[in-house]
Order: sequence, then structure tokens, then C-alpha cells
Amino acid sequence: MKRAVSILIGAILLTGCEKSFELHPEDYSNMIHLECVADATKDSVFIFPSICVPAHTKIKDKVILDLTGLSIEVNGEERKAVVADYTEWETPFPYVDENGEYIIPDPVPVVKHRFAVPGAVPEGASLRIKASAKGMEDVHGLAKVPVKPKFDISCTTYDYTDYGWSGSWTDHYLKFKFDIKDKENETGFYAVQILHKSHNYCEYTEEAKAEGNEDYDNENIQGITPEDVSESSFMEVEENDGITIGYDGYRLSYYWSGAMRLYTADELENAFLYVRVYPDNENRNNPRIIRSGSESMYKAVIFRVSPEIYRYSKAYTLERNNDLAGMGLAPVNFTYSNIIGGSGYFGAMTCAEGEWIKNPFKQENR
Amino acid sequence: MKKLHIILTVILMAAVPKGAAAQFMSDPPERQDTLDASRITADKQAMKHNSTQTGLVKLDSRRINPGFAVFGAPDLIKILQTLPGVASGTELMSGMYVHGGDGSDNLFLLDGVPLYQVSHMAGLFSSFNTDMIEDLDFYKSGFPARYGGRLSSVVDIRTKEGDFEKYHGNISIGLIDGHAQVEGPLFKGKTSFNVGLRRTWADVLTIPTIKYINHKEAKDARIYGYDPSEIDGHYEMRDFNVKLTHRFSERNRLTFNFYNGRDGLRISDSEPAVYNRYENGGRYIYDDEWNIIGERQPIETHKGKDVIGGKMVWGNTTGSLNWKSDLSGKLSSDITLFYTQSRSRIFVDISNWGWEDGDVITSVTDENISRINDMGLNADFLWSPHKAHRIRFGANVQNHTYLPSRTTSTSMELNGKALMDTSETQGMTFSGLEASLYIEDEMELTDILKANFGVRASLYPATGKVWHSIEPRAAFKLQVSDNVSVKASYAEMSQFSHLVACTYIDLPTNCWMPSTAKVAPLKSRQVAGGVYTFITPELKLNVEGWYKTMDHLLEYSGTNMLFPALSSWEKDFSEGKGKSYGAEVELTYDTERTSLAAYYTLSWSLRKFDDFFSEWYNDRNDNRHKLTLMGTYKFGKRFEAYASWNYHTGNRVTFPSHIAYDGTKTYGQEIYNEPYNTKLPDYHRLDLGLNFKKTTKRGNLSTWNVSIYNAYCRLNPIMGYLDWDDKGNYFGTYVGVVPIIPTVSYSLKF
Repeated sequence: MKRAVSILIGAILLTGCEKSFELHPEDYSNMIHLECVADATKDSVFIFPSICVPAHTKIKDKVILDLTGLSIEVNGEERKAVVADYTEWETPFPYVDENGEYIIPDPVPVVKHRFAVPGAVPEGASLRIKASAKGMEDVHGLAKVPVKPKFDISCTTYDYTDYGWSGSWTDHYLKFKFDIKDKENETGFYAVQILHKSHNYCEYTEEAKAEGNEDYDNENIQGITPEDVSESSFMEVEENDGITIGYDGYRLSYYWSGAMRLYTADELENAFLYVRVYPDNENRNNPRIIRSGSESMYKAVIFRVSPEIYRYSKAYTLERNNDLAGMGLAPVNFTYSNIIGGSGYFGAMTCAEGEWIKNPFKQENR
Repeated sequence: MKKLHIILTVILMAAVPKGAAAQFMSDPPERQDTLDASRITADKQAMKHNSTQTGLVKLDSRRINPGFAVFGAPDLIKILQTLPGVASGTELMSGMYVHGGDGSDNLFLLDGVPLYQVSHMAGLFSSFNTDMIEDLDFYKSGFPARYGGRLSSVVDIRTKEGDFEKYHGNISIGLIDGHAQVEGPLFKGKTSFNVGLRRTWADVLTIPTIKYINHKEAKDARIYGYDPSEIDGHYEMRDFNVKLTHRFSERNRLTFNFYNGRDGLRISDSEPAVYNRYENGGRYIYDDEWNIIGERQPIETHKGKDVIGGKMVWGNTTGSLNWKSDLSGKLSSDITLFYTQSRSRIFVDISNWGWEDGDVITSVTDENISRINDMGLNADFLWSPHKAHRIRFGANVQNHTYLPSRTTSTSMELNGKALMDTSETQGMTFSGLEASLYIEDEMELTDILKANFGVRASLYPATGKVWHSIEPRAAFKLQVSDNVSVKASYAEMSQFSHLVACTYIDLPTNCWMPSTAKVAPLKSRQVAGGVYTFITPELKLNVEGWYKTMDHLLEYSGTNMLFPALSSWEKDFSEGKGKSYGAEVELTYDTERTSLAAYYTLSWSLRKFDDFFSEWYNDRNDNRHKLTLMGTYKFGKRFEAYASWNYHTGNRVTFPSHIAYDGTKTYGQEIYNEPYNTKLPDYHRLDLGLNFKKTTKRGNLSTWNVSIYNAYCRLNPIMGYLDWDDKGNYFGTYVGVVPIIPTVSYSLKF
């Protein structure tokens, strides 16, 4: 399907003549962009402010968002935001140098400006965010904190066999199903994240220990990345709906530290979430090691999210996955915003966590 | 890819719109629905102000077939697109966006039978053979109660009855298509036939083109030492109309109508694929630091082909049996039993060759089928109990069957032996009986005041919900003076069928779907009114305005797809509202030798989809100004000239309005402040035409037509996107595809 779309776009571009035309940057001005999530479970609000400059003007090398005020009102009580920056590595914009060569610069450490508002954010609370910056219109937005969801989560296994030139192989999946138990508290929108906990261990023989080897046992918890939440065709048949949110450039996922899937309530009740898992290994082929290997566990975390989070995320996902819309050949690209006077979103959520489930797939190496 | 460029250029060259030269006759005498169908021959003054109808344009064959046409035949939809209040959307396509409509809300009736696909060749030709058309009524507002089922317009087309006394016809040959029409008596004075046929010969013309391209590719491949690729392509379009009429008596007439239209497109591209096997498994030799220090020679080489191919077949078939009867001097009936089918099938096959201890061919096919079958009965009656009342009433029942399906197959074979063959099909069937009743009364309240009151009631049972609709219709006409009348109308319309499409491209990649428990019927309300004047007997000025609202509109809100996902189509489409308002001015001047027309529209077309944006925003076809200037002049009996200039404000696209930068001020997130926030450059085009007429020795009329489409070669935008240069500066870019196109055609009437 995607190839057909690409061919279509290519054909139109090849048969057509391109001409540039004048845009009207005077229609737009700089404004504040906020991405903000209030988490009742963690008693905190994270805010990612940035500056929005008109798209079709020259890149502003010196554009700085000079915030003069940033606060949250929780049920009318004002709380000031505090700086909570962090650093990430980013690759600067490619450019053509004086010799005409196309240069992709090396990644550089970049301080990401983030703010946090500590303190309890109770379920059902009414929230208001306000921000002001030098030379820009003040902005504000409203959100309401959802009630913590109640769920039944079931998990079964699923094997899928694929075929290739070299033969066939089988992928293993955990198949999650969710049943909402408190529909009276419905916001209509949910997010699901699957956490992965791996536990590597090694127990040496006394002889090996005498040579300086030490037993180890470590644990690592992380979110499942989008590559693991498979998008293969059989999932569509199973009507596994929802939107997968990845890491790239998307501040929601920084907050959640892992991929998640967003659903409407209808979708979630009818959806199966497939998570590809790899068999746990147990190695028994080294005479100097008594036992070694890995054990992994999986846990579903369900967020009840306010509509703003869903709508913003859906718009973001669609915009990145509809080239035809970008050319005016398909319905529309759009950015959801509930930030009055600026852009972005202000949403809230609470989460409920399921139990850790042991990986049922094992592989023994002898 | 250069080949593809040439092929598509040929296809586009072959598909320039026809009939831009048509002229329009507003408010001619009302069509007679009784058996005595002779035209009223009253003078123009009387013609002008006869009806209460607003937003009506009437065209007859004399006006549709003036002779000036690119490629030899006029195109009905391209003619309607030039009218005020109608936005044409993308150049050359068959889009008709009437009073802010979405293009799928126009009711096309061919002899009373609904037609779902109204275009050939991706919207470049319309489905109507103008040789067969007797006349048509085009309603944009003030819909009489006898019409329903679509929101924005009604195009009621009637085909010609064959001549009951003698045989005659018409043959026309253009650069890429030809059409013929023959009519005459089967039984003199009793039974007549009228048969029309159209066909393109684009397929014949493309054979040498493709051969040349492949030959050139092979030649280049020999010179530069590579394996040539090969393309193949074929397009054909044809349609066929039959009308048989039998007069039982002066009061009873039976008519059989048949229409079949079909498009077929086949295209493929095969690229040579080579598999080399190297010793130690790799082509390159690396040093310890993984730098390439050499290249191995292959120990085995195998050659195969990667092929991508596609077929599209789409079209309509309709059949109807119509019985008109003059039951008494005051009551007549018009009963139609009909069947209509619209179908499209798109088949894509991608085969990849590989080599793994033998020839391996993997093939992925994707077949999308959309079909809708309707069978129904229309019963219409006209009762004139009093000279001041003309009452129409009737009923319509039609059973809709929607049959969309999608099949994806994957197969693999090794040395000709099947290794794998899987297939998944999603097929759906929706069936429902739509029923409607209506009554309307065209009444003369006083000598100067006329009114038409009507109501239409419709019912559609969807799975899990029964939808119904009561649609009041009202129209008034005040005859201010002999030359001036004022009219006003109100109409509600509903629509139970939805055209769901993922793109705006006019390809049969869409599906008709019914209203369901979750998808409500479309609904519109429209008020219209205007002043209609004759300044002189030759000079007419009409000014009309309208305000229209639309509810439950659907807009695709999914990712990059050509075909809607059948299992989730209800959730992949967002529901919203629309409104449109504006004014139309129509100024025409007609004499025996000269015909001039100017149509101007000032309009606003807005949408509100909460999923996209919380406020009202401009629709993509929100063309603020539209102007059409046309003129014809007869230099004598043998020579005519024609010119037409079309202008409208540019269509709209959505560009990022802002970039949200964080930290680095390098990469940023694109922000769209609102949908359709950018206007593409304005559209304008000049068409010219000349007709040379001659009577042959046998007394037949022959016509040579020379036309120039887009005479000053304005490349009008069909799409646009935001681009950026090496320094990251953004600018708008648009793409235009249709250059100047001169054409010639010959036609002979016998």
C-alpha cells in the first residue's frame, strides 16, 4: 500500500512542473508552545515549554524562549514551576558547506528545558496552566485529572509463523486483553504501556570463583519500544486498534520512557495488544558456570488520560504518516491544541498497573 | 522513471476536458411531463419567470453540443463546473462541489436512474455521451420534493428518444476518441431506437509510444552496459447507451433504457534483478578495521525480474423500464423500474525475484473491490385539478446492496513449485431498503405570486438503527414587473449513502458505504433567493444568494492509505459540519450571431470537524471568487469562433504554520494552526475554438473543430507543499501538470 502511494506521488511530481509561490509570514507571529502532563499517580506535573516561530520564515538562530511566568493552578491554588532540565544528544540540521558538500553534523549534547510542579494532583482536580514570555502573548489551558482506572487484565500466548526464502520461523507474542471495570469514571481515552523487566544472572563454580569470577544478578526495567509492538498484518485482522507513540522527538514519550499505545475506550475494550517476546535463555554449556541466563517479566500499565492527550497524540501520529495530506491530496494535516493563545496541549492522567507476568517462553542451550 | 513521465504525459494529454464551450439557458420553458412533450415556444419574457425554482440551470442538446470542444466532444461535467456556485476542485478532474458540498453529494439521474460513477479515466472524461442527451435540469438549491437522497445538487439527465420516422445519426472522430450515435424507427411511427457508443483509442495510441520507450531503453542499455527495464501500459474507456421507445397510443408510452460504461487500466514495470553469489559470502574484502580493501568476483550469477503491475477496472451499468401514461386529462403517471450497478476493482501485483539455491519468486497481491447494486421503483404522478394547482406526488423504493471487499495474498514459489500461498479476505455486505414518499404543489396564489410547497419523507433501516428524515421544501416567486421577478426557497435534504475515500484523487479507490448505527445520514438545509431580470430582450441579469448548512459530513482521519480499511471505516472517518454562503451573478447577452456570458460567484465554504480543529475553518475548495467569461460569434453559416476565460481563487492546502523548536533551534516540530490555512495561487485559463462547417455533396453537415485548451499555457496548481532549502528556509511549492493543448476533430451528421 505504501509503495502504491509513493508511486502515485512520484508520478504526479514527475509529470508536473514545480513552481514556488509566496507565503505570508506576516499572518503568523512567535508564540509559546507547551506540552504538559499532570500525573496524579506521581503527584507531579511536567511541562515542556518551547518557542513556536512561523514556519515559512528563515530559521532564527537566536530564538530563545524567555519565560517570565509559568505556573499551575490546582483547584484554584497556584503553584510555581521549577526547572527540571535534562540533557540529550541530538544531530544538528544538515547543511551545505562552502565546497558544496552536504554535511551531516555530529550529534551534540543538548539541554532540554523542562519544568516540574511538585505536589499532589488529586483525582478529579481542575487544573489551569498559565505561561508568559517576553514578546509573546500569554497562554493558558485547562485540564481535569481523571480517576484512577480499574481493570481486569488477561494475558495469553500467541505464536506466529512467517516464511522466507531460507525457510520459516516462529515469533512468540504475549496477547493482552483489557476489561474496563469502572466505566462510570470514563474519560473515553486510555493509554497502555508494557514494561519489560529483565533479570540476568550467573552462578560460577567454586573453581571459577577462585579464579576471580563473581556471581552476578542484575535487573533492568524499561518500556517496550515500538519495534517490539509488532505492526504485522495479522494484528490488523485482529482489530488491534490504537496509536503507537514512539520516542522520536515526542515529549510525551520522554515522560513515559517507553512506547505506549493510545486507545479510545471502545477500541481498548475490543483490542488485543500483542507484544513480541524472546524466549528466556538458560545456558548449561560452560562447565565453569553452574547456571546462567536471563529471566524476563512483563507488566501492563494502563493510563486513563484526558481527551487532550489522546487528541494531540493522534493528530501528531497522523501528521507523520500521511504524505498525501501534506501535499493537499488527502484530508487534512492538523495539530490539536488546547493552549489558548499559543499551541500544544495540557492534559492529565492517572494510571493503574497490572501484575508482573513471567515470560512463558524458554530456551535451553546445552 | 522518465518513461513513467512520458506515459503519464501521454495519458494526461489524451484527457483534456471537453465542451468548455457550452452555453447555458437559464429557466427555459418547464419540461412537459405529459406525453405531449413539445416545447413551449413562448417568447423569452414569458420563459424567464414561469417557475418558482431557484438555483436551476436547464441545458438542452442544442446548448450542450455547440460544436466547440477539445478533442471533439463536449463534456457534461466540465460544462457544469463552469457554472456559478460550482467549484471544480482539481484541474481536469470531475469534481463538482456545489454550494460548499463535498463532491459525493450530487445526485446524477440518467433517465431517472441514479448513477454512482460519473467519470471515466480518473475524472478526466465524464460518463455521459452528449450525443445521447436530450436535455438536463441542474438544481443547486430549492430542490423540489420529488428529488432526494443527496445534499448538494441534482443533475436530472434525459436521453433522446429515437426518431419515429427516419434514420439519422452522427459520427465524430477526435485525436484520442470517437463516438457515434444512430437513431431511427424500428416500426415506423410506433417504435424507435437510439444507440450511442463512445470509445477511446488511447490504448492503440500508446502501443507505439510504449514500444518506442522500451526500444530506447534497450538501446541505452546496450550502450551503457546494463540490463534494460520494460514497461507496459493500456487504457481503454467505452460506454454504450440504448434507448428503445414504443408508443402504445397517444397516451401511453413504454421506454427501455440501458447504459454501460467501463474503464480499464493496466500498467506494469519490470526491472531486471541480478543475484550474485560470492565466495565467503561477501562482495567486499575488509581489513581489520572494516575498511573496504577489495572486491570479489562472483562465482555464480543469476538473472530474474522484479515486476510491479496493476489493473483497475471500474464502471456503471444501469437499466430501466419506464412507462408514461396520461391517465386522464388531469392526471398522468411516470413509473420506472430500475437497476443500477457501480463497480470498481483494483488489483496490484508486486513480484520480486530472488535466488536461494534456485529461483524464488514471491508475489504479493492486493485486490480491492467496491460494488453497489440498487434495484428500485419510482412512481411519480402529476395531477392538475385546477389551473392554479399542479400537484406532484409519488413514492420511491430502492434496495441498496453494498459489497466492498479486500483480499491480500502472498505466494512464494521455488523453481516453479509453490512453497507458500496465503490469502486474507475482508468482505462485507450491507443491504437496506430506502423508501421515500413526497408531495408538492406548484400553486398560483395570486396573479403575481406563485408558491411551491412540498415535503419528502425518507426511511432507511441500518443495522441496529432505523434512520428517517422529514424534509420540508418551499419556494416562492413574486412577479414584480414583466421583466423582473423575485424568488426565494428553502429545502432540506438527507443522504444515506456515503462515499468514503482516503484521498482526493479521482480514482476508483473509494467505497460507497451506507449509514450505520454509528454513522448518521448526511443532512443539509439551504435557503436561497434572488432577483431575475431582463434588462432588454437580449440581455439578462440574475443575482442569486444562498446560505446552506450540512451535518454529519465525513472526512478521512487516518494514515497514508489509498483504500479505506473496511473493518474500521467508521472510526477512520471523523464527523463534522459544513456551511456555505455566497452570491452568484449571471449576465448573458444573446443574439442570432453573438452569444456572451459572464458568471461570477462570491462564496464562502467552511468546515468544522472537532477532531481536527475546534473552530470553523476554510474548506479546501473555498474559492472566494469565481469568474467565467464566454463568448461565441458566428461569422456566417460556415465559420464560428469561441473563447472562454475561467478564473477562480486558488484552492487551499494545509501547511505548517509554525515550527516548535526546543533547545537546539535546529530540528523542530511542525505545528498546524488550522486546517487549510494556505491558499494556492489563483487558477485561470483561456480556451479558444474555431468551427468550420460544410455541407457535403450528399447533404450531410460536416464540421472541423480546432480548439486550444489553456491557450497561454498557464500551469495551474493541482497540489502544493511546503519545502525548504539547504539553509532550512521554508517556502511554498506548487505542482501544475496541464500545459497548452491544441486539438482537432471532425464530425459528420447524416
